[in-house]
Amino acid sequence: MTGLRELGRRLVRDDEIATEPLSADAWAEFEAFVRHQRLEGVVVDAIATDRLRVTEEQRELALSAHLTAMERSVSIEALVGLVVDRLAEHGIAVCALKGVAACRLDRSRPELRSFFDADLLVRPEDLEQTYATMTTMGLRRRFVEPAAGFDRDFGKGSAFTSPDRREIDLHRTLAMGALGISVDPDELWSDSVSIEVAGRPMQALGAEARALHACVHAAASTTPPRWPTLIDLVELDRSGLELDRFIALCRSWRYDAVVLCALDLLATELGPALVPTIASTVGELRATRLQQMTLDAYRRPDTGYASRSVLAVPVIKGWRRRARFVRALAKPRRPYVEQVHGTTGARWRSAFEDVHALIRRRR
Amino acid sequence: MDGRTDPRSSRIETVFRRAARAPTRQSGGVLLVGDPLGGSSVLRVAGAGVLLWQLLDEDRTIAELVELLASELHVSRAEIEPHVTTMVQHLADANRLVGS
Repeated sequence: MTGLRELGRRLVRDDEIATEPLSADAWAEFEAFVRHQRLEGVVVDAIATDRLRVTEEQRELALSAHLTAMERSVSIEALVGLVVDRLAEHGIAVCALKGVAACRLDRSRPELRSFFDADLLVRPEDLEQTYATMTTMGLRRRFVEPAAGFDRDFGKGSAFTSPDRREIDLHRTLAMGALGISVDPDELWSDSVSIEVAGRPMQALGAEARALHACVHAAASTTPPRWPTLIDLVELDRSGLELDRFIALCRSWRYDAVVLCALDLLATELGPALVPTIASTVGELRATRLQQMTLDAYRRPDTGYASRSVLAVPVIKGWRRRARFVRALAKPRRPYVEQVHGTTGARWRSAFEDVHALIRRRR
Repeated sequence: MDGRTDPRSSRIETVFRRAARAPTRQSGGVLLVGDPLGGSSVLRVAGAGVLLWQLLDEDRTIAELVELLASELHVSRAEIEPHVTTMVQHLADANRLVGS
């Protein structure tokens, strides 16, 4: 049997995949791969267009898997609609990120892109009212912040879960730590576009910002990116990115190392045939040593929050803000310590080991 | 149910008005309809129900729905009317279950 990765690549490239139905064993492996990569919609599309030949049973299984994935997306979007309604009562605008936006803007049909949670962006000045509103709706915030106002000024945001386990990841920027602090929120909103979710008007990031978000989501992780994020990047590129704007945002957010890494990952996962034309801009990107160290701190499994926090300090503008950031993390509120580390001693031990490893690597 | 029935004056009205505010997806002839009130329940609508749901995006009388579906599916109005009634009732029940 052709390797699973190669089968998946053909799916994504819209190539013919299999002229004969896969054997039962091969199908079981393929199904697990598709589920892991959340490609159910792409498979159903390949079956419908006769690029993937299947048995009747396999067709039923593929449809059933797709319906299950779509049910999750639909039920998440129902919650998004409700949240958007409640926030609108306070005059708070919401911008959809990742799956909710990509399925509408970067696919020919929303059925081709599934998601398990919704990522929503609000302006930093609206974050606290948004937290309060979502809490009154019965959604539970998963993590407390180390100090009052920390999320608004330095954090990524916070995840919220509903009693029936649907999750909304609320953002004020694209990532935690340095890779989030370096992003200017005004630039995120400056070229946002209008979309409609569950009959409600919402915003989504402009194409170049969506591409950079896909890059940071793919690159700043200890595990290989799931394919839908990489496909977002391929599709954005196909529909034509403004390269000057892409590079300008990339420089402004210090994402050179992030983009270079994301393009490498894309070539490794999806194959060289799908490497986007933005790869031609790599010559203009300059990953500094600090950028590389910062990205490594997100990618290495032996690196933790302390290293990422230390590396965030140079990115924070203004000495007073830097001091506030350091103070908040040096002496956080007790509920934060208890939730994240258990005890203060355990927190400092882990931070010491983490930063020590960072310094060792630097040498 | 006759052509003078005005859905805007009945319990069914809420379904009509909210139809466009429900998230939807389609796969293999099945339409998934999320809860317009934000709950996690998802309605699976198959076959002619898909078309009916799409027609519900605008306020229409039952008679208009029967007329449109009869014409679209090339069947008589008498044949399609019971199905329309059942489907609309089902949607109204689903809507009631999610708390309207």
